[in-house]
Amino acid sequence: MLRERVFNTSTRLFTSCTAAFAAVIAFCALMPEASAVHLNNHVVSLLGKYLCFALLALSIDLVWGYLGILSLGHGAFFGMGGYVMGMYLMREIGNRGMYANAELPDFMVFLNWKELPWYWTGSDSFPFVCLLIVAVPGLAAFVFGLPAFRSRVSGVYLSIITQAMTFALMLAFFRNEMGFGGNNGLTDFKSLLGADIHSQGMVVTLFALSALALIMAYLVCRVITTSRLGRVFIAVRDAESRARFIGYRVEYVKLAAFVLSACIAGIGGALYVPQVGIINPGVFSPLFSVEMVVCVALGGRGRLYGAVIGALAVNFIKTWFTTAFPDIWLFFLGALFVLVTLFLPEGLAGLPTALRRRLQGKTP
Amino acid sequence: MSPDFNPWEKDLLDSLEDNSDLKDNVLNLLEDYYSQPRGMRPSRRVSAPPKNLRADNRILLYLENISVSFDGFKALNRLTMYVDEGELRCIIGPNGAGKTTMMDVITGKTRPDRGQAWFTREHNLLRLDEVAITQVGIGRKFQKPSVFEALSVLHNLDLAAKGAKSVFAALRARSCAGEAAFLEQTLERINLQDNRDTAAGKLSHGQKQWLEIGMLLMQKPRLLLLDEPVAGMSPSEVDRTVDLLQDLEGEQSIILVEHDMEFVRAVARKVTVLHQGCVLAEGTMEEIQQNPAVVTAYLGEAQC
Repeated sequence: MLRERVFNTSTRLFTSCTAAFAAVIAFCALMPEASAVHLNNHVVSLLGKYLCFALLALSIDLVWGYLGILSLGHGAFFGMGGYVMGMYLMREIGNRGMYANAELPDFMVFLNWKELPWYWTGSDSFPFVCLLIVAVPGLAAFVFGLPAFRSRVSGVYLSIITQAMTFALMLAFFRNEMGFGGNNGLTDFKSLLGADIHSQGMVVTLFALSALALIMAYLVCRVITTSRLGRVFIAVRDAESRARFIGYRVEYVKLAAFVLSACIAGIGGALYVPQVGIINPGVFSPLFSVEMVVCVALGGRGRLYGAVIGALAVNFIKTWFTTAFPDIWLFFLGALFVLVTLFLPEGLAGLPTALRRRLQGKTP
Repeated sequence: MSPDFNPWEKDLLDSLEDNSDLKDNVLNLLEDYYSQPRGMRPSRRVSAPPKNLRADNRILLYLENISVSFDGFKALNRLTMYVDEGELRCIIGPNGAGKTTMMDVITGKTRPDRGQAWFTREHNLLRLDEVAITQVGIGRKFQKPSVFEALSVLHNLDLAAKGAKSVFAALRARSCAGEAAFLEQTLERINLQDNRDTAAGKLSHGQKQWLEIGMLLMQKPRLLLLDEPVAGMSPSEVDRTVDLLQDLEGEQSIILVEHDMEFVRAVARKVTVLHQGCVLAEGTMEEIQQNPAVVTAYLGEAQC
């Protein structure tokens, strides 16, 4: 019964396409270098990075598409997951750093710190870090969401305070005293679980894990959105006070979705950091979060796969565009957003339906 | 003895040691209560019984001396009103008479400055929030039809069905389980049995109004508050609504706020006229129409 409910055509298509894409890329990456289809580590990591953005977009769609909560600060949760992973990777460097200090990361030695701050405790234990990757963003979302949803902050006001939250975090993380590397962030990673982080095996593994995480997160979201709870989400989105007056505690419904969404974003961030090799306060910049929201809008919200399509499409274009015409990327993104909103209100994922309608000669 | 009983329940049972009949009764009640799944148990948050409420066991809703003011404007001014079990009561009054504010007070959306509001002699409405008030058995229809447009008619009703409504209960719930028969019955009652899979957003205005009433019925409320249910309906739709309300009368109490006098005349036995935040007159439609104070209130100024 669960299988029938969750695995509709689009879900089967999505999971098989993602799995096939990941398999092909992994296969090409593992081909000998002389082969025509060989992909180098750089390309594989780049694709892995897109998948992490797709995870973030998916998490935004869960709250925006289904509950109508427009978060302009989801990058903060992505960044928290990323920083937790970054702390672990910093500890893994050990005495291979510039200052060859086995206890302290380079930037702390540089700042003349004598010991690790308390909040770095346990960051050398991989299982503990894995826990923190979901716990930190989840807890942050809980602490932020509980008062906000209880006092019924919604709509544009909620969007503004989410943006303020991520902006405040950015300013805080820029400070060296915070103990997260300040402006430069955390970088120069050497290994993960003892294996060289730049080795082909590690690069392909991280890429495959990102694809797996994306599929799993998609399925979790699917199970939830097709359950009765998913219909409660839509009820809250369409008529919040009606939902409250038939007996649903709207604030907890929102909070549950927001926390889950933050956890997914955190996993995305944690997979992003080892593949990109750096995490800095830039992930907390409002611009990054807004860009991800634009991805979801372009892909089409309220469908889950739309968010993934949007994130992949925008980032593919971005990679090409910022090399070819670096100065006008933001203008282009803005124009794309306006055009899609005007001509494809349901986003790229709504394109097939729109075309079919056009062919049948019906007005939308 | 079941280990589930909490200390005060155990104390109570101990104190009834000498009176075995009463003890068995209490024990049965407690076991009934605990035999239900946790989320389905009725709320036990019962406030201390009111001392100075009018004593009459037929009364379902007590509103006494309710005053609400917004920035000095008195929306309700020492309003006192009682609604009996099973009664269909119409509230009429000119714009700004406080009809909607009264509904807001009953459903916990607005807190009055003074006065008391009780639902039966057990539930102090001023101590409960909107969700808790819904759970004790008060359903409210809004003035503007508000249904879940993206969901089907069936899902709209299913979401409203009485039952556990926490996040985890909703996640575990199989759709439409258990309540299927009652759901069918409600569908038929609101005349939407042919539209069960239609998205609520595609329904006509009148059908949305009925659907919203149906959603309230799914909660099996003891009191229904309907704010202008026939606004914007065609004459034939109004007739069907009259039938629906007459069908419901006696099953649950209904408070109806309405502007359409024809409609009020068709359904109401007892009418309350509100004016400037207090009750101006109460009685049958004929009595109301002959009341000089009411006539002046509708035509010009009147003091109550």
